[in-house]
Amino acid sequence: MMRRLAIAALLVLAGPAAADVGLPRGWNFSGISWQDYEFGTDSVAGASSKAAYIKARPEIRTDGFGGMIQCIKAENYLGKRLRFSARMRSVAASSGQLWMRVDGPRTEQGGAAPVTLGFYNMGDNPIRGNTDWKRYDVVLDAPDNSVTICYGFFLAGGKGEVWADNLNLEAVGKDVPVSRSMVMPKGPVNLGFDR
Amino acid sequence: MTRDDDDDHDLLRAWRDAPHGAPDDLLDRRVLKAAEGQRRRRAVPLGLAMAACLMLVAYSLRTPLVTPPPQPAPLDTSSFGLYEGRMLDVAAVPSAPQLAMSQGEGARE
Repeated sequence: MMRRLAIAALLVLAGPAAADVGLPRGWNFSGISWQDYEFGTDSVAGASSKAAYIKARPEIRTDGFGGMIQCIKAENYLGKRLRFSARMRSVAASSGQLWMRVDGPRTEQGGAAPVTLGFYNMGDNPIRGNTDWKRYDVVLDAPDNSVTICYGFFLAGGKGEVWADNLNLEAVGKDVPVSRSMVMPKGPVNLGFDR
Repeated sequence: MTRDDDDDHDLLRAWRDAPHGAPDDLLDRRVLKAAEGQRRRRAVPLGLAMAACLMLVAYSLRTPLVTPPPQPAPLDTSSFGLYEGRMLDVAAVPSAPQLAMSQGEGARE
């Protein structure tokens, strides 16, 4: 833990040095285990543009995840339905996932974390094993009280590699179904444990 | 009746079945034959037991008594990404990319 904190502090303090680890411009690391993964960009067969990759370091065993994240203000997307899409492929991947989250305001000034208004990360359908280039979508609503939108992709489980290109964030019509997301039910569910 | 009683009975019957006046060597052959049968019968269960033991040993060597390791539970990634970037103060940063992450993430400008 101390090692990770020390590495993170060094990377933040020595900004340009972070370029050595191959993170593309405009993107940040995400995930508690991002140090266990390699990041970079390359031109590969089948990619329509330069593709970004996340590769698990073979000498390290981890169940954690490492990813690339970008967060933006939500002000240009208020009241809209958003689709974050990318083409992805995987090589012997344990779990590659595209994700997006819409956050609302903080519940207390300077205190509690922002309220999550929408979130989906393909946790129910991750990319595993060897897969060819294929488009994946995450669709969420950005309510009027949205403050930030974060999105990206990650590799979890510490095996293989995952690639992504043609990332796009766009507003779509309400006819596009929203990705199943983690939302609180409106009432108690299965209190008797009979299902 | 025990096994030995049976064997004695066989020997006695061989003695009695010998015709009177038979040469001694004929009687000896019959007695020896009965004694040989007695040894053979005694060897059969011992051989069967040894064969069973050998089979058990061979089986145990071929299938070591190890239980397969339990399959690890599938990795639950449903919350991965739920807390990423939450420490950002987007009001202080005019546009993406953002710099600081929530869980010790590094950043590149």
